[in-house]
Amino acid sequence: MQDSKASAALVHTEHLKKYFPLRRNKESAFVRAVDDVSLDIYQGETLGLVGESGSGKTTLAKMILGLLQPTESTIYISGRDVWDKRNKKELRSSVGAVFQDPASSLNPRSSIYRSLERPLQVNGYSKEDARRLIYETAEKINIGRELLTRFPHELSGGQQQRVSIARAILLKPRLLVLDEPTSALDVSVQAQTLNELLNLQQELDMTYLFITHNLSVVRYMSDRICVMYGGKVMEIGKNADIYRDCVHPYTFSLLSSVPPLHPRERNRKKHLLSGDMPSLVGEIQGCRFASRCRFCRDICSQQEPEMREAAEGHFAACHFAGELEF
Amino acid sequence: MKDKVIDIKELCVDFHTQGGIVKAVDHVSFDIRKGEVFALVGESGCGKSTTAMGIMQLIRSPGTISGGEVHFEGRDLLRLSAAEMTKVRGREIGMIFQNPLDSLNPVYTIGGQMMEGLMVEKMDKKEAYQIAFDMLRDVKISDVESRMKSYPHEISGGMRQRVMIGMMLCRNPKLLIADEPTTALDVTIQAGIIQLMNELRQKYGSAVLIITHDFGIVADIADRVGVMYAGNLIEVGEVTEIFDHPKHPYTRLLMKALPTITKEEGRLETIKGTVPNLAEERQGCNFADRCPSCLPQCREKKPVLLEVASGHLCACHLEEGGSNHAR
Repeated sequence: MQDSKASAALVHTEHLKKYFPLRRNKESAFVRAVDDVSLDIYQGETLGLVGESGSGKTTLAKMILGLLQPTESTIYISGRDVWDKRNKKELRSSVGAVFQDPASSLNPRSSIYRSLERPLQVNGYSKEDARRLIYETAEKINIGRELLTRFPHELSGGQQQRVSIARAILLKPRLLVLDEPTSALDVSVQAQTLNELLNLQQELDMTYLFITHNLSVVRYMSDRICVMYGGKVMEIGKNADIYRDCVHPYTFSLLSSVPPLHPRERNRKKHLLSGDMPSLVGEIQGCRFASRCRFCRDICSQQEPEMREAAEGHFAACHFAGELEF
Repeated sequence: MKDKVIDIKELCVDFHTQGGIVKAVDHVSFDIRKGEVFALVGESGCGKSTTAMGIMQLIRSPGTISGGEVHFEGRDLLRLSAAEMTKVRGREIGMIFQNPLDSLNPVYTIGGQMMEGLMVEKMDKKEAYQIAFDMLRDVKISDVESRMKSYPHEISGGMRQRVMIGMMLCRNPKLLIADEPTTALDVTIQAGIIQLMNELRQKYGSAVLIITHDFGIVADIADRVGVMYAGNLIEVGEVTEIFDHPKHPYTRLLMKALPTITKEEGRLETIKGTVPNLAEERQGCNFADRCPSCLPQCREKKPVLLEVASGHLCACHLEEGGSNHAR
């Protein structure tokens, strides 16, 4: 059965798909937002998920969180099917989520304390237990007690995001999905938040799925990195595999569009992408990146590339992975 | 000394709020030279955008420009009448913002909007079309003919920002102000826009004031940099000088807060505390409470921008000469 195979990984998916139906001239069409993604997230690691807008990162995350039902296949957490109703309640409390805009994920009419108490109430905690847990968690993530009586609009963006993180970890989830958690924050607040997340992870032995379009942040945070494009995984591997030895031309282009760290690096070798991501509506032949790839050959637009292993644990979906000179 | 395109002296912008007068921009002085890209960096609320809005005189109530001078083309912009200022905006100083959809009119075509700005100057339609057409090609828009007829919602975000840049450059401004021009875009699109701006500055020779919170953009495009904190300009210098020898403790900490490492290599530096409330009257340096090397005089006297190395200015008591350290 699936279960035995998935046991090494906390999260396991195979050929996961999410198609959104579109109505076009009465014909049925689909946006293939996530198309055939097989992915494992191991216990205790941070998997960084990167890609441009529309590459399917958030859709994938929502399926893992159980917020969107996959069109095909399913997700296993600790070997158990997320979409099996019998597992629902238990698995829901074993995943937590933090989103980009903290202001919109907190109820403006509830005090911070109320917002934190709510998930505990739902899960049957007594008032006293809830209070103890809230104080304990607030302390862990540097939320002063005086903040608990306030309302979201009285908090700064960084404080709001800390509250969101506190709420996500209250129930001690095994997996925390972080969807652009620091994109709305300033550099100094971002640094603080990232450091706190790293400390929490060690302390609570959590697994992170860290989604961002900021490639420097993902490099700082991740053990492994997964690069998505057009609903598919292009390349996945250890942090250094991706940053130092990437083999997929898309990854190379993505990395070369990151602004330099120093003015000296202005003239470094880079290859920028032109054009747009292809439409994900309808059947797509061949590699999805073919239309923007400077190495594109005949086979690329005819046959979809399989995942190829470039090094141990380092995979890329490119016909010429490892053969290209960037 | 190279010619200055714009020379801002002691610009002050105050906001009259219920909590008191907020000095959003407090005696900010800098200049921008011909053909130069000057980057103003800082975190949210430091006054970088307000400075730009002050230059353009686009400050709305409850804000007022409470002092200073903005010398541009031999006159002080702050003394111009509203009608005279209208002629400066768009023609002599162009401006682009973070979200191009807010700046483009949704019910007019791209071509129509670009031509409108030119035809205000009594240019005939044919000529305006040709200029708009050439400009769109210069900003690397493909299939220009059909794009001229497109509406803003029909094109992508990156393309819209290209259109905005083109629209501004059409009138050959002496200065282009770009307020977070790539913040809303993907990195891949951002890289293209920055590359385009680098190419166009050579072709058109406009000076550029770029406002950003991203040191990466600064490293990529700026010639000189000004760092702002809590309404004050605290450090100004050549870009390599700022990156190699940042002098102000805030600039140093901010650079170390940038995620340039992996977690195995260490932890990012953080800055303790938060930005002070600017509505409160305070003596001394605005950064004193958060500064790791705060001296007694930092809480008494406000530091002023002084030259600490050739072309490198810093507003910090620590840099005011060795004798101060002993005291």
